[in-house]
Amino acid sequence: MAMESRTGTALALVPQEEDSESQTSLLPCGRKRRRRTELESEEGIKELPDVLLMDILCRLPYELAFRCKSVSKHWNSLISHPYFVHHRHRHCHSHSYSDGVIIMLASNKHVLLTPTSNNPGKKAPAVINILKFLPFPEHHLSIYASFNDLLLVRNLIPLHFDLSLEFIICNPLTRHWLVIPPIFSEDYQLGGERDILVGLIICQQENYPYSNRYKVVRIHCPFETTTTQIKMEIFSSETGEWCNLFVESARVLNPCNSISRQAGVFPCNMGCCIGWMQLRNSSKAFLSTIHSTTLATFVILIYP
Amino acid sequence: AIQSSRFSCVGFPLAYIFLACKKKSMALKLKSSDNKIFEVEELVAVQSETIKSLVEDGCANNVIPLPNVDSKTLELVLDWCKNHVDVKLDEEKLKEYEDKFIEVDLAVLYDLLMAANYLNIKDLLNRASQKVADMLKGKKPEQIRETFNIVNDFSPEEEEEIRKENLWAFEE
Repeated sequence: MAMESRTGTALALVPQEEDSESQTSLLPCGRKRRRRTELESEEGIKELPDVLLMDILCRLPYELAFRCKSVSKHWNSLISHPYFVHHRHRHCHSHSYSDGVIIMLASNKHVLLTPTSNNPGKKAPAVINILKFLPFPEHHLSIYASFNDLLLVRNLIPLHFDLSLEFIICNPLTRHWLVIPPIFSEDYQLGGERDILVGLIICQQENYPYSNRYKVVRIHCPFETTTTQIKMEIFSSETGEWCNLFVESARVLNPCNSISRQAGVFPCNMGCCIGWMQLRNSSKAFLSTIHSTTLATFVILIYP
Repeated sequence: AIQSSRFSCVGFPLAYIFLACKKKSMALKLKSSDNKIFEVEELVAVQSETIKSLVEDGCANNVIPLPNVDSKTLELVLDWCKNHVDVKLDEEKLKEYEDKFIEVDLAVLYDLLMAANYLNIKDLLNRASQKVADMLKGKKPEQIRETFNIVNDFSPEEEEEIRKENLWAFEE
């Protein structure tokens, strides 16, 4: 299922919710349960069922796990599988590991990966171009937002430059991606794009924190000094469509003349919320609930 | 005779308690793959979720065959279970015991993993998996292959490609 989304059509970026029994079948390389006679041969870890091997690999620090990709094709396929990323998150969560990777957007298409372990002698964080697996020219791509392991990437097509609100959702770790349909809003104005904040929200479910449902949110910043209303456009992975949402503020909003790069759409921990913040002047912020389930606590920092 | 004196535990289904009252001494008989019979206190054996569900379903009156576990491994596993049923053992001692228990060679560790998985003993599975993970730490891919007897099925080009992709992880 999720393996097929390389074509960019399937919506499943992350494994579908499933019960624990069917999770074994998720694993690639379709290894069949070995027969008893083979089990008795002392071949060590290689003969472990995939579920057990996966559980062991999930306990490794990220760097070592990625290094283990070059052990064998089978290990590579296990570590590259979406299940690995999600199982690992869950594992780290339940064992309160300090180890992890913080993904920071260092520039348009480069991402800063920093291990979270506080090792003073540690090397400088690696800056890698993680978008090169996408079949689009690299200079057309820029990362707009990130949440958990998903990135929202904008693809600027120079031919119809301004109308091409083409967004791509991708998971750089599993290399799955899909294109979100373009949006054509009525009050579209040339050059108006710079006043819109774009964010990405994963809709969590209580007993399955790694949901494959997400929402792309675009917030139109207010201009008039008297407005109490903010327009948002939301793309939901469930409906596959964009829809408009108007949020009323209790008090008059400060007009926003120029958006600083620090402003953005952030998922907040009060249910599934989005906030728009201008960190330089923290008085400008609002929250809006679009979904009322809980969020995971995985850290993603958005770097200016 | 084994006394079933530890029924102060809460959380057991009613049917189970009912069964326990009827029979004073509850001992289960487990049969390993090499046909050895192990007689264990039920409270010890039900740490295995697999056995527990058998008991709850009332299928544990006769000998329970465990065709996937040999006697050597079963002995170790039951030892683990016995030490984890005893609430008197304080945490420090338990940790000491676990550390000592898990210091085995890879072949035994592997058997333990398989048995813990089959018998569904979460804490043992967790501890054994962690042990293997710890064994992987600080090893280069070549050393991992050697330790775990894995054949490198990459062509040199493929391996180089993967190394390049994950270069950041290879930097020490």
